Formats: sequence, C-alpha cells, structure tokens
Amino acid sequence: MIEINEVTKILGDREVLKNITLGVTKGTIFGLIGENGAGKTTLIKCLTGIYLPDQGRVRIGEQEVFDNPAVKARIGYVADQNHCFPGMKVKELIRFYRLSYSSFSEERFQSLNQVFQLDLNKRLKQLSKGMKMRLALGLNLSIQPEVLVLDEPTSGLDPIVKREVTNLLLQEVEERDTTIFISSHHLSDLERICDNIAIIQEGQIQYVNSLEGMKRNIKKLQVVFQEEPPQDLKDWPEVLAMEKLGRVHYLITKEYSREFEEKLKGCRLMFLEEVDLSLEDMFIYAAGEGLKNGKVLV
Amino acid sequence: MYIKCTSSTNTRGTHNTIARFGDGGDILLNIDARSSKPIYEQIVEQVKENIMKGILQPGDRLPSVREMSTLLTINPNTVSKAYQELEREKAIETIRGKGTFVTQNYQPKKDEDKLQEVRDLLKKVVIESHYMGLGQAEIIAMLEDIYQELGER
Amino acid sequence: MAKYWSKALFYNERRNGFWASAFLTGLLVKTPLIDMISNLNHLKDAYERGLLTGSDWGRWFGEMLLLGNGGMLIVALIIVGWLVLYQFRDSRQEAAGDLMASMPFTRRQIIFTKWVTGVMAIAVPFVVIFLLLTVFYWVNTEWISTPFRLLPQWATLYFLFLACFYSFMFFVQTVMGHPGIASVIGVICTMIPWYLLSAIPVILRQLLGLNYGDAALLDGIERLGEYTVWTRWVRPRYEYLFPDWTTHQLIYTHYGLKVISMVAVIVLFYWLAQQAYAKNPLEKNGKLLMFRFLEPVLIWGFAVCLGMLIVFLFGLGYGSGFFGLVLYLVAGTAIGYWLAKKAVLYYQG
Repeated sequence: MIEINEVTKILGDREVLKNITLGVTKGTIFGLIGENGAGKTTLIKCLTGIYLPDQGRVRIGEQEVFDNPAVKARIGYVADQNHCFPGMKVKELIRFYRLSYSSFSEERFQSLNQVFQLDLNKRLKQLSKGMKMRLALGLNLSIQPEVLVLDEPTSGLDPIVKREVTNLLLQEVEERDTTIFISSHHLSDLERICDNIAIIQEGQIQYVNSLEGMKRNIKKLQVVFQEEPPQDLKDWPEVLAMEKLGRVHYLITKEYSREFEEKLKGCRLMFLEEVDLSLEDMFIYAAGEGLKNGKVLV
Repeated sequence: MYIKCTSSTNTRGTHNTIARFGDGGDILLNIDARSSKPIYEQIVEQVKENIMKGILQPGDRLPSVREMSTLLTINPNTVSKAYQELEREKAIETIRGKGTFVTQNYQPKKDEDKLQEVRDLLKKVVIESHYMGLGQAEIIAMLEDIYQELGER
Repeated sequence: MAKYWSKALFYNERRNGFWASAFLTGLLVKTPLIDMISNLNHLKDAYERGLLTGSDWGRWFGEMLLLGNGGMLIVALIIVGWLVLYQFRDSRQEAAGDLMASMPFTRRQIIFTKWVTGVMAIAVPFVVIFLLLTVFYWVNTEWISTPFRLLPQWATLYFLFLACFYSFMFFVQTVMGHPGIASVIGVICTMIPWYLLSAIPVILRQLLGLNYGDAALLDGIERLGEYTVWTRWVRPRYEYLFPDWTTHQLIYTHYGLKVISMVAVIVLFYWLAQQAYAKNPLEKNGKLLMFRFLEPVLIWGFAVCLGMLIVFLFGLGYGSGFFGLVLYLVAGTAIGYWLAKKAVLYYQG
C-alpha cells in the first residue's frame, strides 16, 4: 500500500533522510521508532506529500503522493502538533473537513464524539492537548481513509486517553482494513500493536522487521562445548556476538534457524539452551551499538 | 452480550486481562509484549491453557478478533493469526455469523516439533531435579500431583 | 473550474476576505460618500443663503471623487497589505501549512482560491460604493456638473490599482517564507524602481561632474523615474473645456491604456505567484526566502540600495569629490551587504 523508495531529503544543509526504503502492506500497522531529530517527522511529511523528496519516490496505492489530491483524499494525517487555526471553532473545522473530503462521514464523527465529548462550539485554542488530539483523530477517522498516518499520536497523553486512542486505531484496522503508519519515540507505545517496526536513527533505517520475525530470528544461546569450541566460531555468519564466561559461551544470533542449531550441535556440544532475551536487547543487537544509549526502547 | 473486563498494566507492559462474557465463559490472558515469545504464540498457548484448566469449556464463545484486540490492546492481525493457529490445531472453531467457540472434543495434536520441545523441557526438569537430589519416583509423584491439580484433562 | 477553485479552501479563506471587505467598504462609505453628503449639505446651505456664485461650483463631485482622497488611498493600501499578510500568515505556519498541504488540494487550487478571494474582497466594496454613489449622483443630479462617466472610471481605476498592489504583494509572499518580513520588503520593492531611476542619474551626474541638462540620457532616466510612482496611475488631470477654455474639468488621461496595463500587471503577478508557489518547498515556511537563488538578489539589492542611500545622506554635498563619493558608495554597499547577509543567515537558519 505504501512504498517509500530510496528517499533522500535535505533540509538546509543537513541530510535528514538518507536513502530510505520502506514498504507497508494494506491492512497492517507499521511503527516507526526513533529519537527526536532522527527524521521521523520529516519522513512522515514526505509520506503525506507535504515535502517533496530530493531523491526517490513516495507512492501510496501505486500513485505518487506529492501534489496529488486524488491520493491525498484517501490519506488521513494526524500531525504531532495540532495547534493550527487557533481562532477557528471546532464545528468550523469539521465543516472544512467535510468540504475537503468527499468521503467525510458526519455520522462517523458523531459516533466518535459520543466517546470524545468535544464541545463543538469551542475555539481550537481553548482545547487541551488531549482534546486536540482527539479532534484530529476524530476528523481523520471520519474521512474514512485507506491510509492513516500518525506522528507521535500518544506523546504527552495520559494513559487512559492513550489506550482509548490506540483501541480506536485497532478497531479501524479490524473493521476497515485501514493501513496505519505510526511513529513514536518509545517502543513501548508500539510493541503491542504493530505488525512491523522500523527503527530510524540519524536519517537512516537501522532495522525493519516484524516483532514476531525479530523474536524468532534474534536469540541468545547458552552453549557448553565438550572440548574447545570451533576456532572460527566468531566468524560464522550467523554469530553476531559472542561472550565467554568460564566454560559457557553466550552466542547472539540474528538469523536463528534449525540448521544453525544443528550446525552447533555438530560441534560436540554438552549443552545448548536458549536464554531469555528482552525486547530492548533484541533491538540493540538488531540495530547496532548506536541504540545502546537510546531512550527509544523505554 | 456484555463484556466485563478488568485490565492492568505493569511496568513491563504486561496486561493481565480477564474478560467475562454473558454466556459464562471467562478467559484469563496475560500478554507480555516484551517477552521473547511472539504475542500470537502467547495467545495460542494461553487459550489452550485456559481450555486445559477448564476456564474455557467446550462450546464457550471466545471474544471476537475485534473484542480481543481491544481487550488486550494488540494488533487485530495478531489475534487473527493466533485464532487461525488455534483453529488449525482444532482447539477452536469459527461458525460463520455466530462467532468463535471452543471445540466440543478438543484433542491436542501431537506434532513432531512440539513433542521434541516437550521432551527437551522434561529433560531439563529431570536434570535440574537430579542436581537437587530428587529421584525418579519423586518426580513422577510430582507429575501426578500436577495432573490432579489441572483436573486430569 | 474545480481544477482551480476549491469550495473548501474558500470556506477557509472567507474570514480574512470578509474582514478586509468590511473595512474597505467602511472606508469608502466614509470617503468619499459621507464626505460628499456633508459637502452637499454645506452647498445646499450656501445656496439658501445665496452664497453660490460663478459657474463652476458643480464640479465639487468630481473633485472630491478624484482628488480628495489621498488619505483614503493610503488606508486602503494598508488594508490590502494587511489582507495579504493574514492570508499567508496561517499557511506559512508549520502546523497549519503542513495540514493544508496534506489535504486533497493542489498547489494551484490553494493559490488561485486565495487570490480570487482576495481580489473579490477588494472588488466588492467598489461595487457597493459604485452603486451607492450612482444613487447619490442621480438623486442630486441638479447639484452636480461632473459627467457621470467619471464615476465608473474612478471605481474601476481604484479597484484595479488596489488589485495591482494586492497581486504584487501576493507574489512577494509566494517567494518568501516569512509573511511579516515579506510585507515590509514587498512595500519597499514597490518603491525601488522609482528610487533607482531617480537616484542613479543624480549620483552619476555628481560622479561625472555634470549638471542637469548636460546628458540627455540621464535626464531621460530621471523623468522616466517619475512615471514609476505608482499613485500616478490613479491621478487625474485638469483639462480645459471647449468652448470657452476657461472652465476646466478633471479627467483621466490615457484611461484605456491604464486599464489595460493594470490588468496586465495583475495577471502577470498572479501568474508569477502561481509558478512560484507551485515550486515552494514547504520546509522553508517561516524562513526568509523560499528559493535559494533569491538570496544573492536580496543581499545585493539591499546592499546597493543602502550604498546609494548613504551617498544621498552624506556624500552629495560640495567638497566630496569623485573619490569621496565612491568611498561612501562602497562603504554603504559593504555595510548593506554585511547586514543583509547576517539577516539572511539568521532567518534561513
């Protein structure tokens, strides 16, 4: 559904996005994790056709997004800052959306507002951050989008609202097969809900995978050899890192497979056991050392 | 039908969720997104455990994909995947237009991989017990106790 | 039409347009309409007391319409400038600008709808005042000797003049990212042709030691400069009328030419604005300039203008010879260059 192909974007003198390639399948939730300044928002602005990439293409449903209203009509975008049009009333903004999107459903908004309880006569500047987020989400769900792009939708929201927002997104995927692209600087916001997760760091994608795939592929093994371990164990393509504690070798592998296990067993093993590995550690091993100080995994 | 749901989140992002349905079937799930076990596997295992323990009885209705996804705040695709797996293992069945139910006579399927897994686990337990000074008879007695506890299903 | 016009965008723009229209209408009702009504009352009063003598007192309508509103014109220009500023204020802010860009509009729809709304906001008050003045004219026709055709001519010229200014300021906004600074620079730019054409001959004469009349080319340039004063376009002229050649009447000279050239200016700047806006990189919203190639234009433009200003302020007296003059020019330009460079660096960040 979403194809981001070798996208590079330069802002000022800084290359904010470096050759980014990502794909998102229809009806799935894609999570983009990165610290502030890693390029999340810039990537999202390229994705929603706000910025024109300097190189590469962004396509949604096989069509270029930039300056293409036909595609934009099918994309919902919830920005990280929703403090626009401060003087406008809520109902005026609703009218603006209704006029802008032919797919806008008044009933959908009203049913959402049963939950949100937004006062339609208030001006936007009078709304709290959580209320603005609810409004933005309500409007963008009411246009019944095929693709919904959200830039840090849950940052700064209290846990109850956070959960309410997340559940709405999950329902949307379940009912309408919507494709969702969501960013956050915390893994914990996304780990439960995403089909796929990408980590972005200094404008580069460090790692893309499904969490399941990651859990299946990245393993920590505790191994004891009957004699000496093979000389070239460190250089095996499957071995990412190795640590030795007495007779016990700890191996980290990025590409766990039965064949790898068999291969190890062929080296006269006394003992082989999988050690529990936390999601944080997996990401650190997957994305490299750079993440070690990162706060994204909190 | 109504769903009553109590849910709490601890610091590790674990959700303990008890869903209660009007038609009697409770389900207790404990999903840890941070565990090295994929979420869908956790659901598969725990639903089976619920059936084993008798928390879910044959014929009980399971939450729909949507209800489950909202209940646990997890991706509906993950729930679907887990349900598909459970259906494949004949633990549950979906009746179109009615919902998903625990099958009447669920016979756990003994597949090769799983069997090996169980064997490995037992082996580990046996080794561990050996070093603790437990003998074969004591372990067998312990196993029998556990079977009693689970209602010998 | 849908290719250019968007109802949704008009809905969003209407507020600015409405307020500008309201203010402009208010202004035009005050000057000339209310001024004229009170003048007419004085006139009637004078007539009652037998103070009206001579034959040309009926010209007051034309004079008040065509001449008596210099202040009005300035206020009208301020309103138009304010309108442009507000039209771009929202869309140049990151949040609102991005949101609009993510919505299903083309750049062309955004800019065209904005522009048409603005032009309509200026046109409506003139239509209103034209209708009011027409009624006033025909009701009081025995007190007025001005030919009626001056009224539509006046309304058309003033509308076009303000629309020219609007279109130009609009264009400046599309190449700059900071609406406030763009407004200031836009206003300055309207005066630059006149400034250059009048200043260059003066400085060159001083440099070359010439007097007025020595070099026809320089005198020509200086005279040309007078034509670049924008307000000239709406300035009427007195014409002595046949048969006695003593009564004179205000008329607009070269009326058709003025109308055509102003329409051309309006369309030209809209076209430029549309081209520029289509290529606007929105990440530069809030920055000084939208396009990098304009940086040297702005820097050098500012530098040269400041250099010349310094010469005017300090270097034109007796005693400063050729080198003194060049020194002032170079020093002024250098300071200007340095200042502009700083400003550009600061805002381009």
